[in-house]
Amino acid sequence: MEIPKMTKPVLVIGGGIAGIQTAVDLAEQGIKTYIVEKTPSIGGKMAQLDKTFPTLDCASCILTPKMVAVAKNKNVELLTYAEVQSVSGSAGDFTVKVLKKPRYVRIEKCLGCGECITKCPMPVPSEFNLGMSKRKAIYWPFPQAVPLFSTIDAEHCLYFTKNVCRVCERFCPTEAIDFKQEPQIIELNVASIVVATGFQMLDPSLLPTYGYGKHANVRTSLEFERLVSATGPTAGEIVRLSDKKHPESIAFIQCVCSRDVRINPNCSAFCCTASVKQAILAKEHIPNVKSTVFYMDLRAFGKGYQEFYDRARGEFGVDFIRGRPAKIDEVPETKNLLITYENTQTGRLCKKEVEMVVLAVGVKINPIEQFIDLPLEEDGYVELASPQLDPVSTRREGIFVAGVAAGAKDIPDSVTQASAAAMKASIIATSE
Amino acid sequence: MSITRPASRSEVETLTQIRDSSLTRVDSRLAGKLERLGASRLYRCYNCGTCTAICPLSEESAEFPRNLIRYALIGAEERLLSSPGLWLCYYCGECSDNCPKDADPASFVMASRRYAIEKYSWGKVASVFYNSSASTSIGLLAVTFIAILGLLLVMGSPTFSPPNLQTFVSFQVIHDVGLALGLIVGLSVLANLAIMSKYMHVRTGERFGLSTRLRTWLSSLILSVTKQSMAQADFLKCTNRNRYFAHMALFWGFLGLSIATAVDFLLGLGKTPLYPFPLQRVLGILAGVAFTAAGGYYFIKRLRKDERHARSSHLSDWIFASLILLAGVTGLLLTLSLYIYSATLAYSLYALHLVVVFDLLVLAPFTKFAHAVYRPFALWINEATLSFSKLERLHGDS
Repeated sequence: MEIPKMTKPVLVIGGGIAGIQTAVDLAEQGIKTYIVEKTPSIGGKMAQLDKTFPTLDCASCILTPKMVAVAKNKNVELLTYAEVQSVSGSAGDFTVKVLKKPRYVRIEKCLGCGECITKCPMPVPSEFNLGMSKRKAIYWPFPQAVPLFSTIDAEHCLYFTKNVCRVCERFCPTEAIDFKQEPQIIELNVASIVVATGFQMLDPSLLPTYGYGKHANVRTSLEFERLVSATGPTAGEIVRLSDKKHPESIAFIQCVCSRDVRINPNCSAFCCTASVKQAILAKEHIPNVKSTVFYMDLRAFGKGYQEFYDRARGEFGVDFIRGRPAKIDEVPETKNLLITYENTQTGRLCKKEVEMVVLAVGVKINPIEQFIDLPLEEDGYVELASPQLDPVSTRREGIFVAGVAAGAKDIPDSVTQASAAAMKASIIATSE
Repeated sequence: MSITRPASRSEVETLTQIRDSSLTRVDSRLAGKLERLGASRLYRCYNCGTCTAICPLSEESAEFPRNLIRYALIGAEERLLSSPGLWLCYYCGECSDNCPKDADPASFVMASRRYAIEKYSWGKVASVFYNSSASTSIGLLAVTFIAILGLLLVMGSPTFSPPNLQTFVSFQVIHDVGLALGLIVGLSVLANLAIMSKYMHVRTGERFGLSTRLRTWLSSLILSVTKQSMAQADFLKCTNRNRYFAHMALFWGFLGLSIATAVDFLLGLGKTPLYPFPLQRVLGILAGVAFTAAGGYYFIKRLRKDERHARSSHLSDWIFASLILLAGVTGLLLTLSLYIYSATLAYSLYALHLVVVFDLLVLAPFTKFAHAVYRPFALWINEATLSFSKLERLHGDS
């Protein structure tokens, strides 16, 4: 076999699990790979999860080693806290402009000791914990962040807002703080690009009948994930926001802002099994809790998912009710929630009172149109060259897609697609 | 394995019967028919139950609308046509507003009701007004033609100063034709109700004694007539108050006009003088104003399509709304023209009024007007069914 004489770099946009897997597979082939990640750390949504289905593996335990491995790989260059600004050129020769946002921390000096964070007096709602806990104005997004450099959030920092403080600067043992940093434009020349820009959760207050944002004890699935996680705002205690008590009954509601033509007609693919998982986790955390899943069709389609669902029913005693709740009302005295639904298997109109509701919220892709010219499908996802036989190629030659940007999917499918995209990207990177 | 003997004919037939009785046949034709009657997005339904759970009226029995959609989609025509849910609905549109598939359950209920009017009518006469716009137009024109022909036959030579309706058409003729018409319409309605109750399998309370059954049926009748027909209490649970008042005005307006006519008849034909405003004339005018205003409200709503219930109008809706509005307007203007002694105006309005009212009444058992009978009947049966099941629960299974 002839070894390719020359390879050009590849750019991966997005440092979630799909981007990480793509970069790992490219780097392993000896191809120089850039990861551009807009937040201060790679890890993406998976880093926010507690356990993963269908094996209940701890998400951080399997993700963190991958994050570290990709960061340490000599062929990978992480451009975190950076955003792609524009993409021009064509397959084999793309010019990409990247805006590197200032961290106001000299990363070559930062040890990741966290002294600055301890001393910072300015609390800010934590994005990682979805506002349910506070971080500081100088912060790591989460303790396992990669790279573990502090970042100053200029929007909240007292120095940038009121020209006072500078406590971090005073206490940093290595003089890494640099308030004078400016944004930088980096130009990359790459052979191919993998778009792994991921998704955001839709806002369930789009569905006013469910009372999210109005009723304290109606949470989203991702918020629940943070609550149940040991690294979360309650150190793994599932509590009601209204009284900080453990709920004795939790209802998980499927297809919120998904499979709903008024908001988002698509199925989000992972919610069914994710809710089955969360119902199990609730049982593990609060043994006497009554978990009920309201569903329309339980789409446990993947390998081992049906068995996982069977376990939830049999071993953990989770109740499953077929029916999409029409409304959720709050009981004023107890802040419990009254769910009105039709049990479509018995044809009975029912009301069920529970102490907490978790909405399995649908997703939409992170917007990409302002920096890359890629045709999107009607449903908002990146258009594929061929959904059957070429499901990682976009309509633009040399640009590939992996993860939820190509369509809602779970972690196993994202990783599979990421490896496929890496292979496609490498073919262009290594051809003459 | 060996063949011992050939299967007998009866053995084969038994097998066929078992197969036929144990299989549920899906008949997609029903959904197709309903689609043409206005349930255009029926197929989108994925059976989630949001419509049933959000409906302000499905409290005691969750029979609609999701169940009805299921019946329609599998072709369970008997079940669909037997459900009181068809007639309980007042079309608030909550189900359609909350449907995640935009399957428009409310329009489906309306389409099913049209289908029921078709199916409940004797000789399927109502099909004329629901099959196609061509057959509807022909039917409407035919009835109108009969009315005009009849009018020409009985028309006298009217006096012009002052106008005297008696000289245009004798009140005796109006009276006789009216009674005959009433009889025909009444018999038609009874025949239709008989067909409707056959669909609805009205068989409740068999286990109770005759007196209990009679009492329950009577109390349900009183309750449904007062609460649902006279006060239309359930309509108030549906969100729109303007619509409630319009519907009440239409109902009470029609009733008031009927009472005024009856009083005029009982006092002696057409003896109600113009002055000084006698009670029955005042009642007639007030009821006529209410009736016409409500007719106008519905007509304008349908034109403007600014509310869910008025957004999609079937031809049958337009005919009903137009006839009501026309009958009201011609009636009021006729009264006015009598007071201003305008003979030409009075006679032409009178002729028009008679034709429109003839159309409205003759078509009543076969068009949307029929809901004025079907709904109270269904509400009565529903009320009785609920009472009987309450009784059964009280008596336990002893």
